[in-house]
Parts: sequence; structure tokens; C-alpha cells
Amino acid sequence: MKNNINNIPNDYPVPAEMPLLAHAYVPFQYLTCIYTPEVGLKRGTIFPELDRPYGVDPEYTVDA
Amino acid sequence: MDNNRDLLMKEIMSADFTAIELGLYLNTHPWDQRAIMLFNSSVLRSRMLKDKYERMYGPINQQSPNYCNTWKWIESPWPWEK
Repeated sequence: MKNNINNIPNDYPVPAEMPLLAHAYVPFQYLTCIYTPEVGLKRGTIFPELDRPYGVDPEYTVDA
Repeated sequence: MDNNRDLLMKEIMSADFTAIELGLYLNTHPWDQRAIMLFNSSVLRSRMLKDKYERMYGPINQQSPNYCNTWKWIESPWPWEK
């Protein structure tokens, strides 16, 4: 794995430009800010971008 | 039960949780220097807090150092006896 000056590999995953039918794609996570340890333990994740409790977001809820 | 003791244990659990989360993140982002730095500081903080807890209140598990001249591990109360 070859690294550039910021120690980020040159083959760092990028979003698919031409998504193919019948292939599944998962966006790659980039570290932004993180919760304090106390808030993280309470929320069940230290990553605000992953803090989506079931039942709160209608897009992410089937029958709640 | 001693409120400060519970608070200190909660701090240990919080620091450990942050270290677990950052460890999972680093499994898929092993080159992320900032995450490595945050991970190391969580682990060191947890170690420091555990050492403090064990010196003040006794062992956290059976592999903890025993800071007394009697064996503290078997002493009551156990977590379910509180």
C-alpha cells in the first residue's frame, strides 16, 4: 500500500462513479469529530454520523 | 454504595467503549493517524483510571494487582449484592 504525504493510501476508497446493476455499495466512513466518552457510551456509538437510533428517523424505521 | 466509586467505574466504562469503537474503526482505516492518536489516549486514560480504581476500591477482575495484605477479590459486596 503506497502512501502519500498525509499517510492516506492512494487507493483510499472513493464512491463508485458508475454503479453497476445488482452490485451493492457501501459509502466509506471518514472520521470527523467524535463524542466525548460519556456521551458515546450513552448513545451507543462515538461517531455522530452513525448515531441513528431505531424508531427516531422514519426513513430508517419499519413499524415503530 | 459510594457514589464516587460508581462515577469512577462509569468513567472507565466510557473510556473503554471509546477505545473499542476506535479499534473497530481502525480495523478498516489502519492508516488514520488521528484515530490512532485518539485510540492511544483512550487506552492510556482507561489504564490510568483502572489503576486509580484498583488502588482505592479493590480489584476489577481476578488478574488485578492486590494492594492489601489480604486477598481483596473475595470480599463483598459483589455487584449483585449492592
